[in-house]
Amino acid sequence: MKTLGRILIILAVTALVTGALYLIVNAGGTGTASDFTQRGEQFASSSDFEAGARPEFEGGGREPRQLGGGWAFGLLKNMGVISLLVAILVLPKGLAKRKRLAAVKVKADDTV
Amino acid sequence: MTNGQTQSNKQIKNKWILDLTIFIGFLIAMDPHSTGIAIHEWLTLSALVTIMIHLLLNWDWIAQVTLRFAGRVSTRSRLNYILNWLLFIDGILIMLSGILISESVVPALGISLPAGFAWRRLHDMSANIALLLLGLHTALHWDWIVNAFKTFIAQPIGRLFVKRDERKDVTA
Ligand code: HEM
Repeated sequence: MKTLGRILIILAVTALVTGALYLIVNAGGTGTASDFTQRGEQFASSSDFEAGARPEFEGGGREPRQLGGGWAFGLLKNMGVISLLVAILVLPKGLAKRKRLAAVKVKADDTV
Repeated sequence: MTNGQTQSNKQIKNKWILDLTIFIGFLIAMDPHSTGIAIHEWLTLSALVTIMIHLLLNWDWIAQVTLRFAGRVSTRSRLNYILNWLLFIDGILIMLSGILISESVVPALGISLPAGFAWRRLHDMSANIALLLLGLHTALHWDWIVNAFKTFIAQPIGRLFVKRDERKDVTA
């Protein structure tokens, strides 16, 4: 019963946020592609998209995908971004802690 | 402000496995060019269940910080809380925009939505923002992740080797 209540709360909050986001984006008036397709442009079809083509974006797409290395590159790039953020935030904290411990040890040695 | 002390090892292990699954799923979702759109859409929609379980498993923390947010809460928890809300809102934006530009799931249900140029851009942008937010989220929980890794992966593997060595000693 408790879990069901919690699920309902999560769903209700999700529905509220979804509604708000939908309204905000559509209020911007750029939600649909009518004027964009009227200019004779097209979205990438599924197969073109998978090959890297993106006609709806400036420049028309990304680098052509190399079979075999493409997925590994994307994965490594995303892992790299996350690792970098973790390193920037976690390493200085670890170093500061080590320094503090070393200072305490020196102090203790001095008093002996 | 952690509820770690009150959780059993089994609960922590389940949480850790679930979080790792979400993390790997997210990395796969971030590369639809490799998986193909159909897998991308079905996989991410089914991941909604894991996100729901993730929220339910962390409910006590969410409820505690929500109630005390304006009062006595550590800066770290407050920061974490704000970041989690951003991640939640961004996650909804990814899903909403994904559904509105769907090429597989929504058409399979017999629904056709008008092509949304802005939603496509938003889908791409919100996915990139989620990558950054997930990096920050991971960094803030780094100690917990490392401790759980040591307890549930590194130590059991280490014990396997110790046992083997002990057996060697006995037979020698
Ligand atoms: C965790 C959730 C999700 C993440 C992280 C994610 C991420 C991405 C990324 C990074 C792209 C590539 C964008 C680009 O190359 O410019 C993409 C494309 C796409 N996604 Fe998702 N996505 C998610 C959920 C969904 C869902 C739920 C759907 C639909 C039901 C969906 C449908 C699509 C479609 C149709 C495309 C290709 C659209 C295009 O041509 O730009 N996605 N997604």
